Amino acid sequence: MNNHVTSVNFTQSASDSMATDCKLAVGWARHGCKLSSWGANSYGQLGQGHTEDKLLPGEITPTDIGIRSITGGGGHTLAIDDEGDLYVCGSNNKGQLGLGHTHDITTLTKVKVPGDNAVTKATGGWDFTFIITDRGELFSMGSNAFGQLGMPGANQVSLPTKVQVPKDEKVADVAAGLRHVVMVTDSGNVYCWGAGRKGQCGVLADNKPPAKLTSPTPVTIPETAGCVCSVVAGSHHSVAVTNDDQMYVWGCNKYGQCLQDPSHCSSVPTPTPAPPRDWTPTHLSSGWTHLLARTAGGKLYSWGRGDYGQLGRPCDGSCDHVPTLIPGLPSFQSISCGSEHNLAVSDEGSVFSWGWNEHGICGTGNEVNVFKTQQVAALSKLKVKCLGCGNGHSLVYGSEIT
Amino acid sequence: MSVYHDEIEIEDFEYDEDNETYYYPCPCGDRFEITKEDLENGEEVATCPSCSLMLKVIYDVEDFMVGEEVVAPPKVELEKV
Repeated sequence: MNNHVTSVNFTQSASDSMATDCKLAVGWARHGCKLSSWGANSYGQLGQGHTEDKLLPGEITPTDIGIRSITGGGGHTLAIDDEGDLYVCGSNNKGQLGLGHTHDITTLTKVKVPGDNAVTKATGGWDFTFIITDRGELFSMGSNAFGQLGMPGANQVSLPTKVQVPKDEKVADVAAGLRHVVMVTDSGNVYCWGAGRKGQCGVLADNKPPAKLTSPTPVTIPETAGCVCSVVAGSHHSVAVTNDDQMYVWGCNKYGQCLQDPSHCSSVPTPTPAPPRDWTPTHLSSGWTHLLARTAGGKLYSWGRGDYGQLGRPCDGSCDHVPTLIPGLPSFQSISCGSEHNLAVSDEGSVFSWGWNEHGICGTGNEVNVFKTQQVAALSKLKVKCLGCGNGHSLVYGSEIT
Repeated sequence: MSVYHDEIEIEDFEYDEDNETYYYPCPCGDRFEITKEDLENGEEVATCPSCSLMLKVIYDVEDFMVGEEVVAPPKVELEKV
């Protein structure tokens, strides 16, 4: 389904090869695989059994699971193993971990998904979670304060609960923003729900963005030759990518995240095509207010807010609405944005980081913001299989180079 | 760079009635907070207990002003002239 662009973490091909690798593994420690985490840890989102921040990567206690994909939300972590089981830790004040209670958890814990179906995708919002199963069904858990669970009338939910998708269509991709959600079905229909004041839901009611939408609401993508195949969400913006490489953006444009000059346009209330460009996005990821695209040739382009170094390149002022190449880098296979920082994996499997670095989120061992994309020295002996970011924490899974 | 991480309207904060505090997500995973009392006193900076970032809260202080309680004067029967 997402062989073209995935919204978080890594390409389909990378995850496929990773799954094969890990089927061979009985326990990752014995086979040289390890899961590392660092950054903010107020709720135990690093999965290391404590709540101390880590300025440098630390190992998550080995268990007998191989990781296929890893990502995070506001203060929680979501890992999918090679069997399609979901493991979680971190902040759980709204039940966003789906464990049936609201206590924070400091070690990765398995979630019981209704029907025991395999999880193919997980995405974390601020204090809620969405998952897709291999049957194309959508489940959510956590806060519903802005209608973000897609379940009208629900308060908050602490177990994975099925979301009623219009026409019972299968879900191809879903992305959680801070308080809103964007989803695309197998047939390319796009829906949004949750908080909408900034235009992030891409629909108008009485000619203005609705304050909130409590159930999946159809979003009209302008006439396009292609079909939407993947979606991405920032704090208050959304992106849909078609299978003919068009990007449609909508929502808050305060920092140029919707590719318009923010001095002329503070928000883009309905889906609008991105201006023409001479590169093809094969993989897109969004921070709260900046975006990162990987091209077919492994190059990285960034746009949006840049005052903490989020863009990984020089920019005049605090933001840049024009997607611009991050120069002087090797070729990359995978990318992931946190709230204000970024991780990327080179073709050789090395981890690079840049952006906001308070709490040591960039893994440099200090808290100085990283304005120029650089390799994470502490992980120089790791060949990365997959990685992901929570808002203020970083997660990497890979094997030791021997 | 501005001293503030962002400027956020009070409508976008979540209010916790139990501790009379307004909250907004901080990029570090914790929450910016400002109490109702702070707003009543004209304070406009929401801070995060875990990091150095600060928000400027956009609100109309008059919406939060509480006048001193004034006891209504005793009703005086006006003499009919």
